[in-house]
Amino acid sequence: MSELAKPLPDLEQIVEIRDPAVNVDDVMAQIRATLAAHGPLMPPDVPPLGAQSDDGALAFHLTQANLTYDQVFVEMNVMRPNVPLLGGWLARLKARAHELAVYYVNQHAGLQVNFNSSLVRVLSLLAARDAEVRALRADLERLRARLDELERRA
Amino acid sequence: MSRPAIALVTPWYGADITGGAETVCRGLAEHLAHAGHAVEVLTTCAWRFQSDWGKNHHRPGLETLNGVPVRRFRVRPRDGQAFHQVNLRLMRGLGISTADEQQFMQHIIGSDELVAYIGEHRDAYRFVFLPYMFGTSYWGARAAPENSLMMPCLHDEAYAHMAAFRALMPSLRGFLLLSQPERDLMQSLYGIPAERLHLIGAGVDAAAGANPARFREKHRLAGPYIVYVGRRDETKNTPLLLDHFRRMKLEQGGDLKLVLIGPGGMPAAAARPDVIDLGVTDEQTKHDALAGALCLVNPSLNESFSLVLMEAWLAGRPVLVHAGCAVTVGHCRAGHGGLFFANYAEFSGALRWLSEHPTEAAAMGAQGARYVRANFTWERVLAKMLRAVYGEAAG
Repeated sequence: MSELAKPLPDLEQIVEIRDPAVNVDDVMAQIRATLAAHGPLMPPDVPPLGAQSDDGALAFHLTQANLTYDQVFVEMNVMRPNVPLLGGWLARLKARAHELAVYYVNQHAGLQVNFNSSLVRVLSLLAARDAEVRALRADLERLRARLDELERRA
Repeated sequence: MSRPAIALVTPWYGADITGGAETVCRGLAEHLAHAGHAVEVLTTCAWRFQSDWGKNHHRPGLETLNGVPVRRFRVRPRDGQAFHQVNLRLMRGLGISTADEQQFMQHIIGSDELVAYIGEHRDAYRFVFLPYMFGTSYWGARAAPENSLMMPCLHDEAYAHMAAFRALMPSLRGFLLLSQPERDLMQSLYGIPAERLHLIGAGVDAAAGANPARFREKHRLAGPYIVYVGRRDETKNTPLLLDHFRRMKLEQGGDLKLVLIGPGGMPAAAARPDVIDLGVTDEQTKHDALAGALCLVNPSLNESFSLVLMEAWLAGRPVLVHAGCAVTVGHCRAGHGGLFFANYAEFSGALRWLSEHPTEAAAMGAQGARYVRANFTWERVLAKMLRAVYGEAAG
């Protein structure tokens, strides 16, 4: 590989926009401040799929929980009855009945989403804490070994 | 002495194939050929990503496509079920054994004839394999590592952590990379020395004469819309976009619509009057759609470049990307061309901001276009590629 190419710094440098009329970081800060002041319930951030964790199953299921915790709302889904003459009237009646049912179901679903959100947030915090505990445990093991070694020497 | 030709090695190739790596490969091949460089494409007879990888759709042999010599080889017979079993575990983030890895590599798309050809002509070419995870790249690069460069189109996914790739990557001549986060990942995953990592990016073709009015008229769209362009599946995070959009409309109402362009199915639950599924369209329709959109939304966490972001910017529109994707967020910050969301609240907040600030949204699109023109012209990308492939003398 004698003629191996070396990266050419000036050519490989990515040219950034240095003088933006609109700075996207400022805009994001503005949006986040608005949400914090007036926004709706802030759900927990969605961790990236395959999040850095040595427990693949935990990372996968936690990601799934984060993605689906609010998927409980229902929508109208009314099929027109296949009845001659009265079909239109029956469809309107059915739609009204469904609207009423959907209204109450989604009221309940909203409460369920609040609960799910708290639950997922707690699980995410526990998972993060679990990773911390494991790191601390590893530190402890290392320090114990070091202490044993020092005591042996003494 | 004439220098060896460049052989781009890829699992499928054709004018009717969509996808990021596929488009990058076709663009490189055609621009190299049109600029008078010796280039060939080595590929299989399989049709495309979505087709049966064990079926020969094209005839084997040499043909010329848009000025590019394309040499096709028959695919290897495979057991799709055996592959799927391992692939499912990988996609779910579960661990796999060495035997599983062997099963995966044995039954992913590959061609023994292609590998034999590479071995027999190892000194006649500089091979460029893309993307990394298919059998064409894995088995092909092993046949001539000293003359092989990988254009991995890498992101932090389960495949990248497989022992097979950890063993292969350090043995290769060099790497052609699309973004700085991809370069960082190559170093952290495989410990490749910096002098073998070449950040070349991808060339982007300018959209000629995008006409949003034509798109609106054709699809009877009067109000505002956002657009998603790309394959629809979990790896691209499309279900998250559909979910956030559905929730936003449920909570806020309004006449905003979501236009989907690209291959792949859609869950029945996502079928709504305000979700317009156009499937695969021609390039002009895509550019027209982008030019008229409130913004392009790309919720994917798995991107190594994201060509469609560049296309949206060249069409003059801003983008909205997932905050968890270092590559797309990196582009947005470097070019000041788009916003990013980490959760539903930010998704709806960002869309509200863009609709309430049309002048600033247009300015973001223009800034993005400047960023693309400064970095990703074909001339610049080819110069970087030739330098990486041939070294100093190539210029």
